[in-house]
Amino acid sequence: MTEAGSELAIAVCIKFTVDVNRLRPDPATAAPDLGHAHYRINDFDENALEEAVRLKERHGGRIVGVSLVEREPPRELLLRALAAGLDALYLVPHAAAASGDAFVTATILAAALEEIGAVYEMVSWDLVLCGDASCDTYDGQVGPRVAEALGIVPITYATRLDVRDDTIVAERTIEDYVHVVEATLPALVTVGSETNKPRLPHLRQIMDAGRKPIVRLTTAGLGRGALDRARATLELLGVTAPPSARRRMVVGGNGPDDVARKLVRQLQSDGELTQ
Amino acid sequence: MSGRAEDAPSGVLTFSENPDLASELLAVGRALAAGAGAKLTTLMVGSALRERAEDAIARGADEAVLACPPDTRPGAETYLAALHAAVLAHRPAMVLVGSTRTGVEVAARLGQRLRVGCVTDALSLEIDDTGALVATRRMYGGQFLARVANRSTPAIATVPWKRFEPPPRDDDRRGTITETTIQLPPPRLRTVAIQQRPRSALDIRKAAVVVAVGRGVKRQEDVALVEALAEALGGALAGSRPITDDLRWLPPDRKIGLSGLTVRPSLYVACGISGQIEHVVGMRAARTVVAINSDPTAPIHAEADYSVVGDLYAIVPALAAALRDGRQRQAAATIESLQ
Repeated sequence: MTEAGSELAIAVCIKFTVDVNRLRPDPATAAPDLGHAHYRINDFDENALEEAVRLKERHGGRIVGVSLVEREPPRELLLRALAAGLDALYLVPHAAAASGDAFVTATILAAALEEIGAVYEMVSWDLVLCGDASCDTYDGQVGPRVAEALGIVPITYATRLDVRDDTIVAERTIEDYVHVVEATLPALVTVGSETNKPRLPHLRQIMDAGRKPIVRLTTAGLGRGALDRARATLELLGVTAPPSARRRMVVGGNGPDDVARKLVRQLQSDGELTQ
Repeated sequence: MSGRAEDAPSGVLTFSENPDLASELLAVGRALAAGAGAKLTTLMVGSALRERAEDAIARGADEAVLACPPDTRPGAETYLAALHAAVLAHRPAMVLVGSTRTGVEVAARLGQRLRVGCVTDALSLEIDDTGALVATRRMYGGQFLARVANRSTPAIATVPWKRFEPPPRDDDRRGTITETTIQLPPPRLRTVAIQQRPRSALDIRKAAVVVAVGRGVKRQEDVALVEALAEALGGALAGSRPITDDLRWLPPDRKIGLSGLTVRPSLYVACGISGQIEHVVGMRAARTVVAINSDPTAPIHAEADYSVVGDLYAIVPALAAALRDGRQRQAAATIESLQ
């Protein structure tokens, strides 16, 4: 949609996820204790947002965030995403958001991206950025599926990217290889923790965040009946924590040398120090 | 070839661009096809695949479909076109794809094109009484296991590397080899270069002892303390994600965790690692785990057989010294016994 050399229209797909490091099993059921869960911005989506900000710093443009949410995320998380550099954040509430059904998520996100693009009178986004995967399901499907739904080229697992005129050049990390590719915009790019180190927002950015727009879309209002087309394909039958069989012995002693001797003796008697 | 259009979809179609993983998929595919009393078809994309096709038939495939692209252009776009064409021609009930990065992209995009579900990184797969493909997979960073039913037709799943043994060869098995050509759209992604990533001489997945360093180490030069412990144990040095990705004190192929490597050493020593789920997933299969961390509430202690709550700057050198001391005494005793 933009002419060569002009500003970039960037969309970032964001998931507000359970903080998996602070999620504990319910002692009675071994199911995740989601009632006491903390929420965060998915870590790889923070990399996607940071990369969008870096591209905007070089090329100018606009960054819009879009997120499918089961219910309204904590306001501090929304402000954090805005403070990190979004110009606006669109939330699409949908009951299936937490189901982890990538078909549903991607179909609704793609419809929302088209709808938001129409608000800005765009034919297409120049770039859609996503995290490689989300820390809760670690599925890795949503990025490639959104690209497919929008009919744009996906560039997955990018660790470095740059835009020159209407061409994107990216380094992808595919197992043991670095795959350097280029494509004509528009494109969807997925990024991970190797791509960049997200910066902490300045006080000024934090203060400005409260004045940036948060827009709530309804799936019913999305074009082409997105809801009808996004029927569930997967059913989550159950989630449990497998029991740990570790001994959990604390090795103490009178100073580091004593502790070290005791630990070596223990590992020897276990047969772990054979050489 | 199966599949008149009016037949109900049946059978299993497998694909991986990785030849080892392609063989491993036959084990799962054979089990699922046997349960459904149906055919196992495997897709291979490229040229000069006859020998691999015969091997796949000996290992349980009923049919090998060899798709020859019009040019040598590899990658997700080509595999997706070939797999999509094979699904339309063979109408399988299930599609299994190897969980490489390319494989996950191909499976996800195939799912979106066909408007069906895909379960990635399935640890086990079975067919339930309703005919749904039921998978177990890790969730919430790996501390939980989820059971997921995929009721789509076809139901797509991806299977990780080394999860299943390739079935043994049976040279008496007979099957069909079919060659097809595929149509490719004009390329949208142009390859500029392919470079091998710089690799460590050591493969930490093969080490019997792994010593890993985390954020408890304050300066890059202090990694040497932990390295000295690895040497005293005759083990390999590895790191958690902050060390490899954020600080870049170790190369990415030393990263243990969900976004890195999974190791199964007999002894695993975590030094200054808090035990975030991202990391724990990669070391949980170790036989014996030692954790050294000054924070008694660090989650790594719950994953350890032996915990030392203390400053790694004191404990790690003391442990290395005790090991060297023990080895010297052992060596002296051996020499003495021989004299």
